[in-house]
Amino acid sequence: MAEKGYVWEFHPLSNAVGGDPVDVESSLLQLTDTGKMVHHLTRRLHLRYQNLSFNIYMDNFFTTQPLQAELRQMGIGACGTCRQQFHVFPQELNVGKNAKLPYHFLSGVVNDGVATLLWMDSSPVIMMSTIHPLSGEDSLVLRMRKHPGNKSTNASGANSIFLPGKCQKELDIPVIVDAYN
Amino acid sequence: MVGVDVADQYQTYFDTQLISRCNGYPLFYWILETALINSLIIYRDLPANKERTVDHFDFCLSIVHDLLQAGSPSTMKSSSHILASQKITRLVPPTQSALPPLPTRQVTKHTPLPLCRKVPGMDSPPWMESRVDCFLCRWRRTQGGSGEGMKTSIKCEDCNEALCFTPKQNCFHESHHMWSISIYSRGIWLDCGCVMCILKAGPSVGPNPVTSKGIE
Repeated sequence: MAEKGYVWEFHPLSNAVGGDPVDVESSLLQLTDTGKMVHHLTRRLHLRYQNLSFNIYMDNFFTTQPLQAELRQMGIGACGTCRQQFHVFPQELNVGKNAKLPYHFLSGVVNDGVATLLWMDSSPVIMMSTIHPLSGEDSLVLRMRKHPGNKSTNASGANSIFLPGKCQKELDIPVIVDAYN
Repeated sequence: MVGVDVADQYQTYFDTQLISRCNGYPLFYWILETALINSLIIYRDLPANKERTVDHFDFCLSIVHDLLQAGSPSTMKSSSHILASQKITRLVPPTQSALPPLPTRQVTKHTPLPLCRKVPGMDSPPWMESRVDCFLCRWRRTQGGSGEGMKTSIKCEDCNEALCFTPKQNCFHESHHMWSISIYSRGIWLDCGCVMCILKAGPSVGPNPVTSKGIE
């Protein structure tokens, strides 16, 4: 767990023997091992700085819907990319890795206070967040975008948006994606 | 993801990971790198360093020098008198020795190779499969010298003799540079004027027939 390069906490994890066991409550047994580890680290941070609020960004190795819901109950915001193979993932957004959707296609659902976003870039981007809106004016932000490569999955549909001979254009992207990057 | 990714980026700049057979060492090296980067971030945020740029490389180098100095026997006796604040304010490494430093320049495809490589005798000596006794060490023993002769795998191409070429005993350099004289014997100048050629010439190359041209 780090902020701007400063590592606050860490927990060892091994592929061979799994993570170092952590003490979790009985109500958290539905979390995965990595989810228990993230919950353990954030709880230590929360107990140390009780008068501060935190937003945590994590990659798809850790992000699950039960973990984000649990962190939301603790008062800690969470955001991150996620995988579609997880069993709690909303089936409406399970489109596969090679889905061909319109460029910048946007969809999302909210389950248990956790917003799940499907956004079509060069390939489908799946993200979960408890701190960003999915709809409304605040859900999009204007950013300079580059067109995808000619051999990418969605190249035919994406290049029609960009002007001929121009490789960049200002487009609206979800604020979740902008905050994560 | 500006937290962990930035920390990983910092760690790739000056990697401390070494090859080890113990599984605990990589974890130790990671903790060492993390401690270095955390201390660098704290040091940059100090009020005294707000207006100047603290270079990552200089910071790591100063820590290395301080650790070496703290671990030396002479410093460990008096380390209790040195304040930690005095160590961290010095970012310039101390001078190592009186030798002139090597020129630091960027090597590209346009960089010319040094011309001294074309001078005969300036190339590296050949290496032999078998280790034999050094010729000069054996000669020293015949002159009443002490010590045992060292075995070496290096030989001189001109002399065709084995010579020591180690940091402790460098007979190769000694025979070609310190004792080298040009010899005029039997009406001709010897091709190689090193001490080996004088000795190999045998009794015929004595004080009388030999004329020393001068020490080179």
